[in-house]
Amino acid sequence: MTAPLLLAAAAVYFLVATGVGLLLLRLAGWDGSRLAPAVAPAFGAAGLGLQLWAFGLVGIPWNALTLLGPWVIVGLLFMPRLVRMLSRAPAWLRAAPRPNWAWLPLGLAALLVLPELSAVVLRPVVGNDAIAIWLMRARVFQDLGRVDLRGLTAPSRHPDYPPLFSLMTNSTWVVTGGISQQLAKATNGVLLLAVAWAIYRAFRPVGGPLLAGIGVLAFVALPSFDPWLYSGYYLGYADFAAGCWMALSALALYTWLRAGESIDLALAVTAAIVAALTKNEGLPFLLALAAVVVFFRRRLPGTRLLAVMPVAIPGAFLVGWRATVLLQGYGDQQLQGVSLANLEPGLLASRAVHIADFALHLLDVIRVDYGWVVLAGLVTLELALVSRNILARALIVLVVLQAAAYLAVYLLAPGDIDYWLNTSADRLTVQLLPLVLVALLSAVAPLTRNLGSRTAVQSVAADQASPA
Amino acid sequence: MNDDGKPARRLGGPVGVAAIAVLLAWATRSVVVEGLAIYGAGAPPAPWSSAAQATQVDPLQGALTSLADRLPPGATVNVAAPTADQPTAEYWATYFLFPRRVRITETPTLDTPGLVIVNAPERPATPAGYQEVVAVRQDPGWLAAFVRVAGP
Repeated sequence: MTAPLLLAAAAVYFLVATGVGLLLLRLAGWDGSRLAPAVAPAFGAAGLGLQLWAFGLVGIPWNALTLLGPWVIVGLLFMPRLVRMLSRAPAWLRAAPRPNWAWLPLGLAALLVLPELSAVVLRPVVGNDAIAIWLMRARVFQDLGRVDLRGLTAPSRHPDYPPLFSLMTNSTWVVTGGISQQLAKATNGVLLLAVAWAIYRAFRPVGGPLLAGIGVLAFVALPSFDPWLYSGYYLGYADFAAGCWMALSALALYTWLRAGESIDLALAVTAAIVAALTKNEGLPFLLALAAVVVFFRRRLPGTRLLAVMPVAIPGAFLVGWRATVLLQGYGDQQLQGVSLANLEPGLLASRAVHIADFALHLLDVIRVDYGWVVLAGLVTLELALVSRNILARALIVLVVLQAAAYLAVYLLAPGDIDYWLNTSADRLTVQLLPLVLVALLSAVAPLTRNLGSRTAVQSVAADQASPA
Repeated sequence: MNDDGKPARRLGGPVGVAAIAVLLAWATRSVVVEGLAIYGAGAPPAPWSSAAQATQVDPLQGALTSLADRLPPGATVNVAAPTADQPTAEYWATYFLFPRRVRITETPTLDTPGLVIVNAPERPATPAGYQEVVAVRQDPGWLAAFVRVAGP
């Protein structure tokens, strides 16, 4: 396909994923969430991937008709509601915020996002894992019309990695009607836009439009994302996607803790489950989220069980996948051999020194983000403690638990620690970065409410008048 | 800050000011670094330029794609590569030639419709009965792909 055709196909996929996502959220009863329009494209892409997975289980062929036909019917059923929503559009336009200082960071963000999205779609895939694992799986799944890893069980192909990232690639191929290794990466572009938009939606009511705009800019400009989004070596890798799902989960957690709506809790748990279906690092994140929810929920009114029930659907996929991994013996390479025997003090100390030495060499705050992760984490922690900001406390606990999980694996997993650090530290950092940024924004937001906006009251009024 | 110190309190005191400063500094530095990475003099070629195409960026990918265009889906391809290069050769060949069968060897054999030679010290000569599809210098050696035009 030529470049304009590829970009057009990616745009079509984005629109389809957004539409499916909105319908999914409506069906689940979660469309009332403040984050719903922002997370819709991501939820739509994941939903299409899970739909293909389910089709493979029951033998329904993969094609655009079977994949999108049901959504057309659901869309027609909701047509009256859609018409009502559109008829209110003039009111939204009147309530839309007037130009303010947020337009400056958002304009700068657009200057970075546009070439990033072009690169995500147009650059070739050149990285080892993208070709050996993620794209190869997608080709095999597409050929067989189902998730089947029996031909890809060599340890170097990582059969223990979950299949959803590749299935999302399959959804781009089924929707656009052709196999393209370039279009396969379009889902990372969908996630980039979804997280950026969700940051704006989450922080605008609390921190004001300027802070929300700065948050969006800080996210899309992170140089650590460059190999995933622009320069290209990590194009087609799943780490960025896993980080985005964790970020969406953290943003929904923040929104739930702030507003107390059960549907935001449901969004947070669903995004964490999808993170666990994207990469194994999502599993400790899901546990960390559960711990934070259990600890902080006593501060909130009762959760409506019915609102959270649809979480069981992606949850069933995760349980099924973990059972498959167990039954087929697809052990996680990094975790195989992890045992308490490795808690030997001399070995632990030696590994800790290796990790500290590795980290110290990466504290270059100009070119890389490791130093900023530490700095932002520390300042967020201190501000959360000083200001008694419960939301920031919850998010920093989430970050610390997730980072502790990574550290524990580095300390306890057998093998060459230098090899593990050199081949994975940058990819794990990409997962932590959005979380740290969200935590920092949550700590700063209550302090900046009036900066760069007209007044807090006007800001909230415009916000409430805008469509959910 | 004015005399009554209200702005400082509104911004959460020194810790709050530090947190805002960290956020602004992080964002500013990111915009400068990533802006230069995309628009600066040493930036990689624009994604839509010909220099960003697979054949330029990844010659093995380009060679395999060209070969796949000339072989039926049921064909077998022999990929000859030094031992150290065999994992990459296998991953690339199985993906870019899919669903064609791939056989990895150290020395080339002439019993398959497609033949790829990875990292040869010199430009490989075209074997009898084959036609050269691609021959390109790929550091540190030569990469070549051939398709059979007549039976051995």
